[in-house]
Amino acid sequence: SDHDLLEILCRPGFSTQETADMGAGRGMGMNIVHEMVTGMGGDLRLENHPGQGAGFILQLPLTLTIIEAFIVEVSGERYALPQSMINEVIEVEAENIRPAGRMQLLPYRDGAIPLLSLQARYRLLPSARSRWYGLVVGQQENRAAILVDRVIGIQEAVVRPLSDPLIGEPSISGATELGDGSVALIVDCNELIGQRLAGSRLSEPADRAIQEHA
Amino acid sequence: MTKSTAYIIFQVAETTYAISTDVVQQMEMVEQITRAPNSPEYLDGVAYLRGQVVPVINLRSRFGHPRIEYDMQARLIVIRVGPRTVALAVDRAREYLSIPEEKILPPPAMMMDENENFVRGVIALNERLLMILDVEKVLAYPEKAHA
Repeated sequence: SDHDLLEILCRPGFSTQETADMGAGRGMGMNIVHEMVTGMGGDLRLENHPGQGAGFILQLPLTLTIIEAFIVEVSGERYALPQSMINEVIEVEAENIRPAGRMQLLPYRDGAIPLLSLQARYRLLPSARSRWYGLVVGQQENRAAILVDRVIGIQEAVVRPLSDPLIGEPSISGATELGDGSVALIVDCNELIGQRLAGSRLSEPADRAIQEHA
Repeated sequence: MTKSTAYIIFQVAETTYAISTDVVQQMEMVEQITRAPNSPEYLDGVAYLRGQVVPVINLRSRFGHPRIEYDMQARLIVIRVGPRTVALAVDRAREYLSIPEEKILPPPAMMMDENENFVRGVIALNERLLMILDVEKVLAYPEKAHA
């Protein structure tokens, strides 16, 4: 049967060539294909029609990445932040915020933690408020609190990759649908902090990429 | 017999355009669009269409016209070029035409200087003028400063 034939074809060392050349003939190719396809949880099938040709059918699972995510709201927009990146959620009162050069700091445990405003970073409409929630990300000296208006909840989110170059914000590389048909962009918190370390400004939204096509 | 190509005909700001069906994947009504931060002005955001999150280019804005509210006639033309899938928001799209290649003329040179350089050909068909969309130019994107 085709199934048995495929099994022979995929045996390591099986080849129809008498001699191997630089590129082919050692009998490894189909063996590797079989191992990789089954290794990914897929299936390899053969449909053989002697005299007409043969079809190799590769069936691969559509892998979905599912994460637990905090759904937050900033200036009326909703974003998803992977829960695995969040250490804790704190309340941030305007009166406790201390300016420090271009940064804003909040007393935190025995020291201070820099605040990172998503509203400023993403150039969203400012909202008049004196109280935010801070999602603490990062470890030790890389720690920062991402300020959001509201934490809506935690939910399972199917990650849909979003890699088109038109998406100008590097901390956005995916999105998830929220069940009501709307989409929340997934925020890569590490990328946000990484940008901070690279010296880009937090409170001053002056990003060259934007001014160029504004 | 000359070769014909199928085009979807659509309107943006009173102008009629044609896009080859070769690149068109599907058409959708405009539903929810989520704004994408720090992206070009003409990007309306992203939409969730049949299991895929797709950036939406507002063609009015792309061509330098003011935006208008989406109405019931507005459509998203979802196109696929290479690895990219992008939706184009247009005012109306309700026609499909097969056009013989001999009817396609190069755009007048004057048009090439203006904002109209998103046109790569003009079709004169039964007293109608259709502009063939230059998809590559529409999809071109500004270099990222972060890269």
